[in-house]
Amino acid sequence: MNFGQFYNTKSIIHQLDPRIKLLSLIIFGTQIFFIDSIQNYIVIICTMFFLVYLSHVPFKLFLKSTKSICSIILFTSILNMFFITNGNVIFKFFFLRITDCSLMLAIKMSLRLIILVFLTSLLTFTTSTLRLTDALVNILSPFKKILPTNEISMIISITLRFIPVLSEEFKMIMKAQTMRGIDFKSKNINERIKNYLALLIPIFISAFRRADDLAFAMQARCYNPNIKRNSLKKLKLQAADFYAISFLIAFFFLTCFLENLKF
Amino acid sequence: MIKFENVTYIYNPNTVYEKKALDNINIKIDEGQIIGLIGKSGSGKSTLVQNLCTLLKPTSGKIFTDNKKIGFVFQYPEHQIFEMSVKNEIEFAIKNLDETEKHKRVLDALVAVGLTNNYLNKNPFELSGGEKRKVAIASILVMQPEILILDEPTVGLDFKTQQNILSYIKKLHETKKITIIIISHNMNIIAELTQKTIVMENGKIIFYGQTYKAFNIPDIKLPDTKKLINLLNAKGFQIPDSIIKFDETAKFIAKKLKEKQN
Ligand SMILES: Nc1ncnc2c1ncn2[C@@H]1O[C@H](COP(=O)(O)OP(=O)(O)OP(=O)(O)O)[C@@H](O)[C@H]1O
Ligand SMILES: [Mg+2]
Repeated sequence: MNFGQFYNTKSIIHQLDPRIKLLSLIIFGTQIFFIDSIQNYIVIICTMFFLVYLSHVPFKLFLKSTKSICSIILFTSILNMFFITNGNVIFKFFFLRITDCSLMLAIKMSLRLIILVFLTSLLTFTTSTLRLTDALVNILSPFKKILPTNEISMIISITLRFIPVLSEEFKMIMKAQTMRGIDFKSKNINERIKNYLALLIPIFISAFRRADDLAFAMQARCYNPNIKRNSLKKLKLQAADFYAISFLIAFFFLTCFLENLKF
Repeated sequence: MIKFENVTYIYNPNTVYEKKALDNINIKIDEGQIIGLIGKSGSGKSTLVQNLCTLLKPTSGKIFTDNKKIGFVFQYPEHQIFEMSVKNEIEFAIKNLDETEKHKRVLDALVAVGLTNNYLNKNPFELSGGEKRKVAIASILVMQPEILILDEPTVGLDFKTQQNILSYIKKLHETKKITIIIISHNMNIIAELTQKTIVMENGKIIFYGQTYKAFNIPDIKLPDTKKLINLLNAKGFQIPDSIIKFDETAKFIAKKLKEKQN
């Protein structure tokens, strides 16, 4: 499982403040859904490739992340194509009609999702989960009065930490049950569901066992969620971060400007 | 015949996480014996046996097993228990057989691990750790494998339960004469149980032969008997290399002591 795993190359992007990366992902990830003009897509995609290049993370890894959601992209674009019926018909098959409008929308939707996956991957490849949760807590800290930010950060970091562990365990259990003659590709749906129980029960038990162990370990170390904490590595904006902020603000206005430009 | 021919296995090939776990393995494993498989953590033991039982497909090379049925007991097999009764748990793999045959095989498997038919209707989740492990092993034995692979069969159990399980493995080998491959970090088990041993290092097999000869490899972990013998030999005794089992060692020392007394 490679999707969203930290890949350290110590590039400029890696060293940027995680809060900036997280906030810009939120802002640009939202903005991408309001973008419609072709020139804007070109500019955004070029900038994105430039950032990927700056990160020194192998391009292969990005493609791999995209591949894993390919089916979702395909599914949504096909749905899009069939349910939008205005515009000129360019293809007809019984009751199915594909129009130029729906085709265009499907392409744009796919592009948006792909850009989103690339940006999210860029964030997760270049930021360790520890720094990411730090950033999140930091961003949430103004809401400390109404939100249990410490617990949230603990929950998030534990969840992230255990995803690869459980995924390994899942594979292991699957192998072990295969050796016991359990067929996960059985043609009989009823049997197949029953067989998946052979996977689910052990994985749940193992997850609870791990949770139990972890709770004991935390208690043994006197973990108390209500205590005021500080971090070993304080987040502090560097010169490069200010350049990044200026660049991002400029880029935001550029895209807004391009969006309203009519050729 | 169990034979590996130029077998190489690479995890995640052509990615940045590429890892060569088996490096050009060539070996012909004797059948009908208990074979030990030892080596440091990460040396590729689990990868080797998973290739043998077709859970993994070699990246290159061939493996021959004459289509023998292979049973593989994973580490901590009790973690894979999911049925609500011991009977259902054990007979899962042979559901499609007829009732009488099924019942006979389940009882056979139970007896082979030292449990009785009183256990059939118990809930496996309520058994002790050792009993759970026995049920899990029985659920593999019920398929009547001709080659049985055990990955750390006694890890995490108390000494007495360990000895108990090992004695049943020994008995199983004596009665059924099947090939048993045991992976273990516990050299006492290897010395006590196996006739031959495979030693792995960095994805390569660095030794295959009589178990006692494996303990002459420099830097290898020794069983307690061998440690004692080495100390005695350093004090001028001449205990032959081939003695590594507890009762053999005791017999030899007793013989020498008697000779001295007379
Ligand atoms: N699923 C996997 N993906 C990637 N690499 C793996 C995977 N499983 C094992 N490896 C790597 O392959 C090598 C051999 O692993 P293997 O599990 O065969 O070792 P082992 O001898 O069984 O160790 P242990 O005694 O700890 O069980 C190790 O370096 C390990 O990191
Ligand atoms: Mg192993």
